[in-house]
Amino acid sequence: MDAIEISGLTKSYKDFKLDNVSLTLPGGCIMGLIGENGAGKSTLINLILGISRAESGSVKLLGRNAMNDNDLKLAKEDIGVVLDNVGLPLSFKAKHINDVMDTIYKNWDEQEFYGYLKRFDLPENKAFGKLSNGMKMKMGIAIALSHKAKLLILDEATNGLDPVIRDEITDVFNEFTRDESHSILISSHIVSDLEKICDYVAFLHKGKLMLCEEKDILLEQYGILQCSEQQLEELDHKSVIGKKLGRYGAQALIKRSAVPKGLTVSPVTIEELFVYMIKEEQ
Amino acid sequence: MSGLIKKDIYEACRSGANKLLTIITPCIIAITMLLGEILGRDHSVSMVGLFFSPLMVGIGCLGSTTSDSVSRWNVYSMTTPCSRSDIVNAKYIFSLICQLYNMALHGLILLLLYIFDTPVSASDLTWFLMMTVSSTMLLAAVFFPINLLIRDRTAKSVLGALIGGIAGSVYSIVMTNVIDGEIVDRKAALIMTAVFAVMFILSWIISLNAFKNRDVV
Repeated sequence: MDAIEISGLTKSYKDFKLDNVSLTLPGGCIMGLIGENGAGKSTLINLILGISRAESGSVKLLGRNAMNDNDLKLAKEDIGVVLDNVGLPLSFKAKHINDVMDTIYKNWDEQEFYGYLKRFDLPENKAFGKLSNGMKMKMGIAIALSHKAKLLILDEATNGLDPVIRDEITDVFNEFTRDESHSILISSHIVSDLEKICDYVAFLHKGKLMLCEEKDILLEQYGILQCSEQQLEELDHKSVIGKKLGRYGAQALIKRSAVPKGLTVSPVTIEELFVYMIKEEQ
Repeated sequence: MSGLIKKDIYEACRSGANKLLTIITPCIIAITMLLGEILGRDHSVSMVGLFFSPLMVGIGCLGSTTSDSVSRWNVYSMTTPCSRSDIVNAKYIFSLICQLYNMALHGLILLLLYIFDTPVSASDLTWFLMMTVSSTMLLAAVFFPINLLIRDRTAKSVLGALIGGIAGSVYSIVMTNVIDGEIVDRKAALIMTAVFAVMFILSWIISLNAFKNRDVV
């Protein structure tokens, strides 16, 4: 069963449009949703979760129709969500959060929650409003992981965390996906974080989905070619995804299959792939 | 839905401003009323507590929607397994719980007055019913839809002030029916209470329908 199936999702605002987005997150996989600021990552996640209403299109979460309120409610029992802003009551301490979440979620695990609090070094007797931004985010992640979720949806959840904590959280996500029925959709503009853990990558740019592909296939298909401008001109333009012209020659993101013999193609990172594609688009 | 109601109750007990409005001040007023009666003060003066105290509980109940916006719980709750209907129903049920608290607190005072041989008149009982019911119901009926359906803060404030003014005018009209702490026309007062109850139910239905397709963000 696919964790997320999105088809033709569209939402218009005054000066932005999320336009006909379709993607699928297979079960047991991690998908990185990459895009620059304002690309529509949060808009897409809000539409998936029913926080905003789509104009057209359909969403299925863990096999349930997310456009139907009752089905969406049932699906959310198995979904852990961390948005860029963890909206818990500011006066609540850990035990109040635990009590409320225990009543909200059928599969709430108190032991697991307090275990994560200990692991993330979160104080139990401090009001949520008095925690630092990083601690608030960790609290959100602890809640998302404490009700036996099968799908995690994370919107810029690691932004604002220091590198040590981000590394720790990445380990937690890796543990989560050891269970093959568990999936993660994680959005970020810090591509280097996503590169380490994602199986699939989806690029969003100005409300449009530029590509959605397996990370390994992308890294196999594309490479960085260092050559002269003249050599670059001789190549099939359709295979050149993006280029940078410098004083000493050209650097191009290119499909490996189009590179003639004799020229060397270096491996590309997802971050480079993303930057070249966006710059070419602009 | 019960988790959402639990969250509102916890917050009413924990958040400083809400705790003051919904718990501490009404209790102080209720005790003052009781002491006033025992010490032989003018009955009509003591009963003024039955005007202010339920009003404070009603306003404190509304504080839950304001703090939801401040903390962004209104967005976070949409990520939990609670439907949009659950979110609306939880707010209105919480206001009914506040109303029950109002009635219990002030009902206890009236009972104690009766036990202390202070005359509790039919007017007092009408006044009690009218204020404990209408203070939460009228305020919830007016302000819950505004908070649930309007995002713009300026528009919310302006609309809230306008409608608050109308609610205040209604109370003023009600108060013209009160002479020396006694309700002159008890039938009119009870009709007014019933009208507020109907407004509450209509507001609930409107909120449920309008929130269905609302973008929360």
